Amino acid sequence: MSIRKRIILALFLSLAVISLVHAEELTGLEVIKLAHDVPEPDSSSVVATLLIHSKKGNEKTRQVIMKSKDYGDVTREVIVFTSPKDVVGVGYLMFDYPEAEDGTKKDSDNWLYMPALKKSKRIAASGTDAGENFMGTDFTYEDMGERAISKDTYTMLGKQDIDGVLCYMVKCESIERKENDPVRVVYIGVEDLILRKCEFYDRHGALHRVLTCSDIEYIDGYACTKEMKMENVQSGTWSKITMSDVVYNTAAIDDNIFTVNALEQGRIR
Amino acid sequence: MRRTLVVFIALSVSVFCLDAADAYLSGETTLGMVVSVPPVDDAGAITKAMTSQILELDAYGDVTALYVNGGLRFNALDYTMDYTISAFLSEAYVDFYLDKFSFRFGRQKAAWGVAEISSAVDVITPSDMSDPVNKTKMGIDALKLSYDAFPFAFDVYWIPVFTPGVLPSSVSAMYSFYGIGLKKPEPCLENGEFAARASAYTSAGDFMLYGYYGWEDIPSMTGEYDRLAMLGASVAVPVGQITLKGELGWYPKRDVVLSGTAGFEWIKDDFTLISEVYGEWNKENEELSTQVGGTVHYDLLDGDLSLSLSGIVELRELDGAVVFGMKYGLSDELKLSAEAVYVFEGPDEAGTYGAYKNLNCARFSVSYSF
Repeated sequence: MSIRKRIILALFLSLAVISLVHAEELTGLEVIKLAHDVPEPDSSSVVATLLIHSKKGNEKTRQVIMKSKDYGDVTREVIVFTSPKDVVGVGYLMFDYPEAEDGTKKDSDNWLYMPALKKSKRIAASGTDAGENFMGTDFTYEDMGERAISKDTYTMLGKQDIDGVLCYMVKCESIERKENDPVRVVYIGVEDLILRKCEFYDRHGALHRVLTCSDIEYIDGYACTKEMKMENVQSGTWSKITMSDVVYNTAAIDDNIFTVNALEQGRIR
Repeated sequence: MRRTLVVFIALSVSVFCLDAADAYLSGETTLGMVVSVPPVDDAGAITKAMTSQILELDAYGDVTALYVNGGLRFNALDYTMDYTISAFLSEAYVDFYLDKFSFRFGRQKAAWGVAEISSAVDVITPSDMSDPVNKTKMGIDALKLSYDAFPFAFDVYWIPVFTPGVLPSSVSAMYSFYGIGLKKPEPCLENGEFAARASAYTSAGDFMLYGYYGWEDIPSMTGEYDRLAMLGASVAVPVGQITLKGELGWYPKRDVVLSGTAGFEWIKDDFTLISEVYGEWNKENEELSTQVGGTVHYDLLDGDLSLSLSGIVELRELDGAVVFGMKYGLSDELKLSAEAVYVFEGPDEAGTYGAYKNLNCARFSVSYSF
């Protein structure tokens, strides 16, 4: 088959798939599965700036370097603070394991390095504290990770326009209802299947937090949400994470930096 | 002081000889004061008034890095020294990375073990015990070679020049009173120190083995520093929300041949609880001495305020110490801290901690970092 024929066939198949997706009325679960299957880079390096806005209007800024690499059976991630001064060098190393076919998930392995102590320490699985605030922001550790599809039930609520982008509106309800926010309504772009907004409802059914995603860019063919704002409508606080220096799938992300020794040596730059 | 400054400047300048792509200078200015509190006889007396300026240089390239931490200290109570400003160099080292190997040359600090309160294996660097309640680690001039083959890691140290610990002022005074001079080992190759650590980091836990052959950090009663050998092991196992920790150290050249620590750490949101039991077995006296320690740490106001309470009790003499601390951040740069230290004697004997009962104090400090 000539290259031209292959391209025409590929285009035809792509159009056919898109037409099918639009023609059928997808269920909530199908949308979530499609969004889950959006290709992601095997490795990434970003500088994240965290802006924390208090109820009184005070603002704090934190900056971290985040690097991660997917090895198939484990995703290794390292986070190191670069500001403010009193937390510079504090680092986390996390090994996150994928969900098994039976829906179970092995606890992550976690280490924390404190420069003042000159040593890293093993800390209990973050999975048990998934509802804990992520670095003092309105985000939780669970928000930052990938939630297992089997943990929720899904209901399609329809479609809604979010900042000019038509989105699927899916209600996700936790099966175990152990989380602080057991119900989420997610808004996922119809065309690109990228998350645009998420509303978090607490155990009493009241709106608790609202996540808005903006400044979405494609870098090396992968979608990158460069700005995420989480607003706690109950407390009046909000936090914003802005990504910069985003690099995907580069050889510069050395395997040797995802180790406890590298964390202790300050090798993650 | 002049030599320290020369080393500091030389290392700072050497950054330009590296493949440094980035270099950052930061620092911290601290003004601190210590006041004696009851039941100390001279309650209300200011026992320490210190201003310090720390400068840090962090430079790095693709395969090299340079780190320098040093500064100046001014002791407002040091009348005898005519208010001399003293210089110090805490760390100054160069790193070189070669795939799984890395080398670190220069003055560096290191910590061994998993215990937070009393370690049975942390002999790699000496301590500055001039403030016995608030001991700080000192740098050692060493060459460190590391091999990192995750989940395993190996570190080997060669410490050619021995660095003794800084003694509490009361102990130094005792040596002076009895006319005992401190005799450091001759600085020659055969008096160097050697250390090694092998680590395994698994999902089940972290497992480490340690070996050390060097010198005791504190002198014997004759003023000489004895040879020290140690073989040790430590383990840290996460179980649910807690991490269980244990250490064991064997010291064949000491009367106290065996030391061990067992404990746990629980972190929940902004709350941290650490509890440990430390024991020593004295072969000569056939005695086991144990102490129990704990720390509670809690962050409030979105981390602007942190409170901590630490305590340790020696179970034989029932003496010990309690420290309550608080730290408040007016901003990311400006921090205020206060600490209350209470040392108590045992009912029958003063005990190891009780000997420092005149150190009951309140500490205050303001620090600005940039």
